Amino acid sequence: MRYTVQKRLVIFSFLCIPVGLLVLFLLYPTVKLFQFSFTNWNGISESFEYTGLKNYITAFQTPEVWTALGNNFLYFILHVIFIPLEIMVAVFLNNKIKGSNFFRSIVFMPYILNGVAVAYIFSYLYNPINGPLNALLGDMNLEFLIRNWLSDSSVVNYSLVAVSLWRFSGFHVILFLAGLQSVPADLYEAATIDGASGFQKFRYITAPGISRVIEIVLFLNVRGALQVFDIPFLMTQGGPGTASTTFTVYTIQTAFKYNNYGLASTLAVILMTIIIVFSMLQSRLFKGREE
Amino acid sequence: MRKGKLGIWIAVTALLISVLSGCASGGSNKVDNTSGSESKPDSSAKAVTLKMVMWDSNNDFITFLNDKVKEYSKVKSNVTIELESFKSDSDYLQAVKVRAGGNALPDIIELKPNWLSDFKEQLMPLDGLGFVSSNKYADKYKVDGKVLAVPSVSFPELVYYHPSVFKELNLEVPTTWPQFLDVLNKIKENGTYIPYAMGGKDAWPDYPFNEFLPHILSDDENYLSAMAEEDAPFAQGTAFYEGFSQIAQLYDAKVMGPDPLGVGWDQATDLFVSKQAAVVASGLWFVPTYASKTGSTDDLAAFPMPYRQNEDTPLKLMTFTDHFYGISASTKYADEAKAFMEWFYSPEVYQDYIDHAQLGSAYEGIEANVPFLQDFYNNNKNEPFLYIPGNAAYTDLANAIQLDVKALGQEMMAGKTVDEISKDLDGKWSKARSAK
Repeated sequence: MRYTVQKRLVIFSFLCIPVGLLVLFLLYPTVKLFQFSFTNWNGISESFEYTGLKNYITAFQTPEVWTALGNNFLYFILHVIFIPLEIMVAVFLNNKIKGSNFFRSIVFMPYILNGVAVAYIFSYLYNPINGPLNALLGDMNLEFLIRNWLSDSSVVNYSLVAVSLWRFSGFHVILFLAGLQSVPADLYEAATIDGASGFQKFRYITAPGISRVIEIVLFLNVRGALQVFDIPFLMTQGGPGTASTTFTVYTIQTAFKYNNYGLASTLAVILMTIIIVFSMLQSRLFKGREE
Repeated sequence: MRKGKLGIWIAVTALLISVLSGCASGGSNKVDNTSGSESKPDSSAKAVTLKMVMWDSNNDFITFLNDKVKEYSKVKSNVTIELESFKSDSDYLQAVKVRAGGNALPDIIELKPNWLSDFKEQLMPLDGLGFVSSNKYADKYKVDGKVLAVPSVSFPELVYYHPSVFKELNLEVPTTWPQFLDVLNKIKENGTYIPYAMGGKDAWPDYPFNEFLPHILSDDENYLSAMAEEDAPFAQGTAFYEGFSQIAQLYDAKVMGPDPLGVGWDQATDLFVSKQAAVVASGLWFVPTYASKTGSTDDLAAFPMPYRQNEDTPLKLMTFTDHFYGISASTKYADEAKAFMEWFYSPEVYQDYIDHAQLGSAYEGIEANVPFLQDFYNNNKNEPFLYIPGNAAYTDLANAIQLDVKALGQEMMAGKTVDEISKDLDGKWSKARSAK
């Protein structure tokens, strides 16, 4: 057998399994997802009918879908607002301060914790009867701040976003920290010699140096905010009523609670499209800036 | 090099085509799940394993049932029953739906009455079988004229209270809705106890109100199916509107503690068990939970939820049937499954089952040994009202508008008015009906 034939054979055999797995577990389900998005399949029945674009029209005309997306947007925007703070914490931890390794571990800890555990911890903290948060506010004579954290429709989403911030901000800080450590120290030395101020160093050295990390964090933010599921599902089940329902919670309920796999598949396709579009826009934005 | 790449792409394309053609072959309008749909007669000597799936929140009952079904091997030595259990009905339903979609349903499936329409294609008709004819309620739950599953238990929906609290506050057991509100208001005024333990964070605990009240008020056991025939079943003057207005009186009275939506069912029942709350409503299934936490039912009594406005009308008692068992239409062992069900519902085995379930019997001539239930019936006059779920037309419409009356209950507790709810639902309902 010729060497090139042997080489191709080896390459093909090595690729066969991963490509097969990719087709089976990614491409095939995706194709089926698109197929079901054009049907009225209830998820149980053996048969279904093709309904054209009806599910897509229904999805766009259902106010609850937009309300759920609005809740997702709140997660996105509050996480974006927190990015400067996360960078500040990262800059602080990047300095040679006493116990910085300890603090680095501490900020990363919430990310390691299991989502279910986090939900239970915060459900306890927010508890209206003997809950530590309201008790603390009472002890500090801040009774006017006491709220029904998970049952007041106007407060519940902020309570849940706070949990999300607590859980993921530490991870973002560590990413920013890694970015900061990759910026060469001689650039700062040169800037110091040239008389640059602290802000100028940040504006012209640090920020461009960690722009890739900011891009990654923003992508994670878009993806995470649009797909947020475990925190609202475990802590409020989307309630009270539908007040804290997010897009993914709504999709899951459409499929499993209301037996509408067709519409749920459509919602999943829409979610996938939104994430791709946002990521592309973001990538273009950063590319444009780099150029 | 280019040739090498071409080879890989050809291989990948071939794989894709083979997989996609596989989907296409099943897919004019069928999900690929036809394998194993035949019912094959088996010789008695052949070893058969029947898979049975159920849910129950009570670990002791799951252990009992696990041991019980194993006894069937003594009756039929070649048949083994493999029992799979879930702790929550919602997790159970999700798992069963996923399996139904993949044609991997177990041979014997447990169901709630309102799931029967959803699974009608997956269940084997059981009409004419011995264990069906002796069941008191099976005929009431026919789907498209066929019995698809039989209920194992029936039980009343009750309002539980602590007699010691009623005695201390000098309260009488209410028999009308205004009296019920009055009792709760008096408990609130006293300030020692939370009048009603709701657990509204979980949505479902408001079912004695948001699910059952309009149903009972309609005075029609088939009320939900009848709704499917109406264009505006939520409008003013309907049982729904009147019922929800009645519920609003309760929620607006603020008799459910400082934050009824911030407390889940477990916490609410803990408040009741520890005597911090005076009243709670649920099915008879709550009694074993209460007894397991307190060790006795000495300070526990119950009365029918007084939905009626005055004593001129009969006091209706919502009666729920549950734990239906049916046989999967795709089972390979239909005869063995039917034979097992006959054994399972035979008087001796069923008596043991019902005594451990601590719920009411669904079979003629068999009475459950539940002292609490016997005491309740001895002390309370009432007229049973059977909960019958909506038919397929109702289920389709309710799913299309994503109707969840229990979530609506949460919204009412959060301040949403009956008018807003009624207007919103009627609009969606009418649109969904015209789209069907």
